[in-house]
Amino acid sequence: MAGRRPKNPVKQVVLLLLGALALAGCTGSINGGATADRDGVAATGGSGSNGQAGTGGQAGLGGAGGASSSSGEGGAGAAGEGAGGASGSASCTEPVEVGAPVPVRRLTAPQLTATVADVLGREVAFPISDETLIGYRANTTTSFDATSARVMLTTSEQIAITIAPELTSDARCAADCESFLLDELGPQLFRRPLDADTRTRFAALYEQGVATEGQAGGVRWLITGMLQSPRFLYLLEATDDSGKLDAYSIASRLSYALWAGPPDAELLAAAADGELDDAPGIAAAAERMIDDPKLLRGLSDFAGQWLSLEHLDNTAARPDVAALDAETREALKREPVELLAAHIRSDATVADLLLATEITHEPALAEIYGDDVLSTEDGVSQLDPDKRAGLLALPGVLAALSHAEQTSPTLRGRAVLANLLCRPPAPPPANVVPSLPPSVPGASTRERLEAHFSDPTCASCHASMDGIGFAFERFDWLGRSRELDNDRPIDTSASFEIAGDPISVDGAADMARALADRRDVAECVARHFSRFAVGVRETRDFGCTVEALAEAAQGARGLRGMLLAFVTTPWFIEPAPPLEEM
Amino acid sequence: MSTRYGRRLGRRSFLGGASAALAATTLFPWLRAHAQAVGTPKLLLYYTPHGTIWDNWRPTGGETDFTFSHILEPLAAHRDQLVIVDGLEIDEPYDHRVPHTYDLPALFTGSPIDTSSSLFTRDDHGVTFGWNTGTSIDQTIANRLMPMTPHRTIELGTQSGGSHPASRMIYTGPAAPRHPLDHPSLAWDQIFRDASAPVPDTTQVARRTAILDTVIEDLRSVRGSLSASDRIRIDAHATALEEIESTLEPIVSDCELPAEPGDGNLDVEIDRQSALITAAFACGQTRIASLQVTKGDNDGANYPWAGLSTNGHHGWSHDSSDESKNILTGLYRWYAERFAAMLDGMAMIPDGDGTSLLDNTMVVWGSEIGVGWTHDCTNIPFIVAGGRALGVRGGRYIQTTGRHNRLLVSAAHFMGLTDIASYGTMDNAEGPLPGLLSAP
Repeated sequence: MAGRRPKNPVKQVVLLLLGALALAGCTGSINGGATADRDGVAATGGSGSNGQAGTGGQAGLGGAGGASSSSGEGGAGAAGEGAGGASGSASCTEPVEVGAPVPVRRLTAPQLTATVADVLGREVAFPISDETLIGYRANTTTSFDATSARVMLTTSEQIAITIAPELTSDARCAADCESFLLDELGPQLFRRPLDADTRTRFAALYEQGVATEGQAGGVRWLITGMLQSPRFLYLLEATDDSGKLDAYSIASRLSYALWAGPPDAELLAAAADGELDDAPGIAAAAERMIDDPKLLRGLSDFAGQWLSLEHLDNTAARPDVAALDAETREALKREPVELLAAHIRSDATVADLLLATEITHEPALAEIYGDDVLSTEDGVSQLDPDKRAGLLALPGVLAALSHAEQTSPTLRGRAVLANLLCRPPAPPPANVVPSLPPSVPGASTRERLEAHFSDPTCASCHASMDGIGFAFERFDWLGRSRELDNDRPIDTSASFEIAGDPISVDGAADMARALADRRDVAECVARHFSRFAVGVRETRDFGCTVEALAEAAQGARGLRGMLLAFVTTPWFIEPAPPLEEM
Repeated sequence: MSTRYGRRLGRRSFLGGASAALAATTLFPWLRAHAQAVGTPKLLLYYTPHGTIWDNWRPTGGETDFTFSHILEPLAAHRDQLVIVDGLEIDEPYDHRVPHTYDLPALFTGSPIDTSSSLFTRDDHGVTFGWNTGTSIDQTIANRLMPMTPHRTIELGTQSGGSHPASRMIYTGPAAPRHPLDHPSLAWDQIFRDASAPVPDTTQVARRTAILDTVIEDLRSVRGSLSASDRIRIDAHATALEEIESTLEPIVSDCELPAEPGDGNLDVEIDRQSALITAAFACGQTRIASLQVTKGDNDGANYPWAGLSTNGHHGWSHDSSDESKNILTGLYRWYAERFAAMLDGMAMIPDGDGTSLLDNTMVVWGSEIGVGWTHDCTNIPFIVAGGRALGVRGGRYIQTTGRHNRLLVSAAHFMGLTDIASYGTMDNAEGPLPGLLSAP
């Protein structure tokens, strides 16, 4: 897969991409039916009643996907896609130059861990809650409560105690410890140089610590304090004199989006040297970051949430997975991330990702793949293309979207709808008593779920979710191929509608082919990455950008092109618009 | 800031009665907080998810001559300390709702979620909403009582999930959740590590004070450039640090401090968290606590030891078949066993004047809905336990009607705040639950 990328085309390509973006921003209404969902807030806020009607009345994908032209449009936005762009219906009537409305974000627990790991070289878990409001961890709405702050205090103390001896004996500390801590470590922890007042404040803490507990004490006091400082805990973004996000803010946006961790010294230096002041410079930095090993950490954070891979860590929900050996468990989670990374780095498209039949050999998963691997050479396994194709057929993904020792066509189908098509199904209606037939002993999972459809209220949504999920039924709860389910033959034919288009497939590979080249799938990937990267849902303004991002993802530079385009969109690099415009 | 430390004293030295406790605290000021907690009313809010199976929960018989149901039968040993409440509803002021999500924040705040806000979009519900609009009753009580305990309140949980309205029930104010400590080892670390030090670390208070002062000053220095809503968040962070700063001096008492527990699955963590809350009450670490077992949206956990082995609790809760009802009944009985084990522990600990901890503690156990597959919340399965010495009239099965806010008012009255006549914006001013507490 590697080697297709030209050697040094960065700036030119980005300029081309930017040009495409500008065009896309002005192409006018993509769908004449789009209503005045000026932004996600208004669109979703105003569409609650539509969503309500949709839950009760509209069947299948129509209700969630907004297939109908009038109220359905609201339904699409309401179905959680903010801009109503889920069905490709974003209405862009003017060029869009605004940034995402990003509040001050408190670092998530994994981001805290990564920041401490990169700067202080210690792997420490932070047992602190993160908001999970948009399907991705992002602390944007609540404050740090006393319970969490107390945990932060004791965790910071423990880190400082562990690290103080090492820092104290560092040669740079021997030379000028205060300067070492405040002018070298400090800017890494805070992701920008300390201003004079801040430096004075923390220097005073250091000196007080030295006076009370000696040099190592001073180091300990200072590290404990800096780890609780808002400058460490939050992404405090600043604007420069021209009203744009300053270079250090951009550096952190880049690093937490691509690495799920802090900027490294090179990225901070790029910020200091003005290299992040324009889109080509930002893209050049992103190119380097994509090729850096830390991309895997970033993608792991993203895909863990996007593909529900973190579900594999939930021992209460998945005792079956918890019972596996650690290496198998890790390989299940690692493989989708590696596949994603390999495709991004080799300029592969979304379609390539969904159709891939060459995957890195994971010895721990060999038993799970069984005969589905035709051959393995030079660490690359060739999958039987009739059985498995692409991201959705990886054991880790299939296992994550299952129940304990039981497949869930519902979870698998829902993931396709919500995370690949951005058309989440409507919920079960409230206060309706479904009259379910008694369970039939010996029935297959599919037969059991189809019985569920005998109740029309349930059928309205389960027909679409499960209908898609049935295509994956030849893979069990661990992603192993199987011929029988509960001793019953398996039927992997699946018929469903997407935005009114009837689709019939048979099996997972067929499903991948049906999805691979769809523009709305490419758009949906861009939407999900955006949520992960900026911590807020898309508004209509992003809906104007998403077309171009999808085009990039399907274009010559593929997923890498999409990421480069994304990190240079106004959405990503411009500050939030003033409140009255939001 | 002054620092005072003490060595442990025999429990007998101040358990003789209020006057003895008073004398002890005059001589040994560090006992002040603990002595204040002995014999005082304590409150525990307790939650388990997804309602119940009414046919197997509801007792038969009358108010005092009732017979325990299959689910509640494990509580029979505490019959005299139990009020089974049948008929209270969470009455929501909206037509469409996201049941598990909207009703967990309403459970102890008595106020609805903010449906005018567009902070959250539920992918699968086509609605937007915000956080809660009210303060939970425990936090209101703490604000009024200002207890001098090392922890103003304690929130523990197990598998309570990420921060989301659907997984948070305790709020210091609108959109201000307090996050439960999810694991016994973490809870012990936060509540008992300092108290367990053989010799109090005299430098620690000075060190923490200097550090927290610096951080608070740093928070103040960044607020100026922020938006109004971000400024509120940063200010609240500073307030949280001030709360910690005001309770840095460890309480030293001679109660039996618990050993550091290990973590595990729900089969052990519920009991361990319950035991830590019991010990926290007994050791004067707090008077107000909550325990949240998993979360409202949605409990995907399996409980194989209770017969629920796959598909998750929430999955079964949407299934009205007999098979599902049997499985869920088994789980809910198991919850009752956990609850009973906690009451056993509280009943064994003396709490002054010949009373037990349970005699002085009101435990309110509720859920976010009444029935899983209908999402009905016109009747929530509530249990009130304990508090006999301070006015709870146990040994009864109360069939009643009305809003659950009345139970929150009763909790406030139990804690001594009898001037609270209604609680939460869903309250229609019916007052406390009639007959739950004896007349003052």
